[in-house]
Amino acid sequence: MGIRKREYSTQQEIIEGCIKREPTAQRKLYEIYAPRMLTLATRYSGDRERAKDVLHDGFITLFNKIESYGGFGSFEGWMRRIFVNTALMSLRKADVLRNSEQIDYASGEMSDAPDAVESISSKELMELIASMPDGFRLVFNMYAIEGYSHQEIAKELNISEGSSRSQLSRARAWLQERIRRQNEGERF
Amino acid sequence: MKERDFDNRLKQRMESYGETPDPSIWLSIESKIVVPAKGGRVVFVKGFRVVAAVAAAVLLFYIAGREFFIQERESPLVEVLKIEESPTEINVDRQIPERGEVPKILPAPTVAVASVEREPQIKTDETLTDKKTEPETGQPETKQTATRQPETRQLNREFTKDFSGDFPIELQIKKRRGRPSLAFSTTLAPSVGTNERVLHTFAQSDFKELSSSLDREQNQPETVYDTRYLPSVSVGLQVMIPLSKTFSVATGLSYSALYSITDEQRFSDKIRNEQTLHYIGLPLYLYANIYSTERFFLYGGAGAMVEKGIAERIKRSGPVPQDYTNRVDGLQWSAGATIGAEYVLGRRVGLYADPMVMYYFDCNQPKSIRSAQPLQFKLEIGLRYRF
Repeated sequence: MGIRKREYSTQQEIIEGCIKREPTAQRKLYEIYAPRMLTLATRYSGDRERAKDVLHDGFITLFNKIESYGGFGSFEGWMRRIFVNTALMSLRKADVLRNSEQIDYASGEMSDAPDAVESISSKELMELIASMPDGFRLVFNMYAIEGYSHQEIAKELNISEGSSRSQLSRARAWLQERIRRQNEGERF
Repeated sequence: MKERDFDNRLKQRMESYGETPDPSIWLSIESKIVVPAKGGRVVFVKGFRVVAAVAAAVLLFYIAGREFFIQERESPLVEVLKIEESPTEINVDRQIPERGEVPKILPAPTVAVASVEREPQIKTDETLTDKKTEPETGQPETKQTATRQPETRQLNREFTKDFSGDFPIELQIKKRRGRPSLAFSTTLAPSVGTNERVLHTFAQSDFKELSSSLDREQNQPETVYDTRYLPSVSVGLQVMIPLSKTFSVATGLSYSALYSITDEQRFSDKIRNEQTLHYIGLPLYLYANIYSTERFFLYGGAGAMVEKGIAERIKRSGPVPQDYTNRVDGLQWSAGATIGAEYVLGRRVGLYADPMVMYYFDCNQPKSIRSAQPLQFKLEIGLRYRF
């Protein structure tokens, strides 16, 4: 009466297996997406330990709610929203979001070299994003990477839209400055 | 422009980058999500309790019913023996019916049948022998009995249309009651007109606060699912083996087909999914005879069935038509009870109808009428052949 192991050749089969609560399918889904979701969790959380908690809680939520995925649109996009939500809930619990609007340094001036991103490794880039001040980090991740609008960010983080725009601008400048310094051999 | 370019480059780098998480995270997740096996065992135990309760109810009903009918009727054989003990009460002239007087002499064939069956035990045989060996003696009592026997047989032939050989049909049916039988059945579940409509939106889910404008544009989350279930159909073969005069056990093999249609209505298009599920089942039922006449049996039964899904076939029509087959893992357990009736058509064949109530346990099977409506009423109709 036990469930036999089987190979899953397509994403659709894996999703169907997860809906049926098949352990093999759940493991397979985890193996495929956990590395990228861990990166996402680290970018939002700012530290590794909290990111692990987000990864853990996010996958449990995902497996419990996978029936809600209607089978249309990007599954990874749907999955990323779960992990973003889990990360934001984790930050709310830690009272990080309350102080997000108070951060007011960095000039907000954009450098002339958008391709500076290419000059450092992905790992270094992720670590830089994770090391951003909380307000910068959340606005920048939500807008630049996940595609939220300022209105949605403002509602989610309980800040004004103007503040969201302002922090995004400063976050870009902050990040570019750090990339430039890193390229010049400086360490922070 | 520079800002958007910067964002896009950074987004591409971050979306494709991943780090291998610590193995302990998966172990922790796994320990919290593998719950169905425990739930399945609980359902399994509960299922047996239901089966036991139904079986006990049928047994009680049988015992109560049997007590009642035993008081109402006496065995025809007892009547015969009484008659033989007081031969003066048997008047051959009175027993011979006039044509057209069927209702008055209906008990007579039963007496005759029983006396033929028990020939060695009653005095009739002895008197017949006396007649053959001592025809000249002319004893009055012997003559009277000797002339009576052929007449009762004549009587029997007149009122038994399906007479075969030395025994009438009723006796042959009686003899075959306690023998194994093979039944071919068809089962219909008329209680399956359930329609199920589901509106899937982000507003209903736990992720509404996560849906950005970009997500909503890409995913079109509002979809109406309209599912209709058609009556399930089963055919099967059943072998029934008597355990005693009262109880029989039955098992066999059954095939069931479940069919449903789900229409997905989206913003811009409509998709139809036609699902056909195929199951092979192994039933195990205990039957108890409640009441019987020469040609009619009433019985009760309860038991369980385990089914293995052979395949789930999905035919998807819409903008991108698909036709594919999924494997069905696991087993479907069910329990049921019935009060059935059988009418004997001939010496070996009976037509039976078993209205039954079935409960399908949640065994993590693909969505079907059994998951939407676990308690179902069914009607099984078939032919039963006795060896």
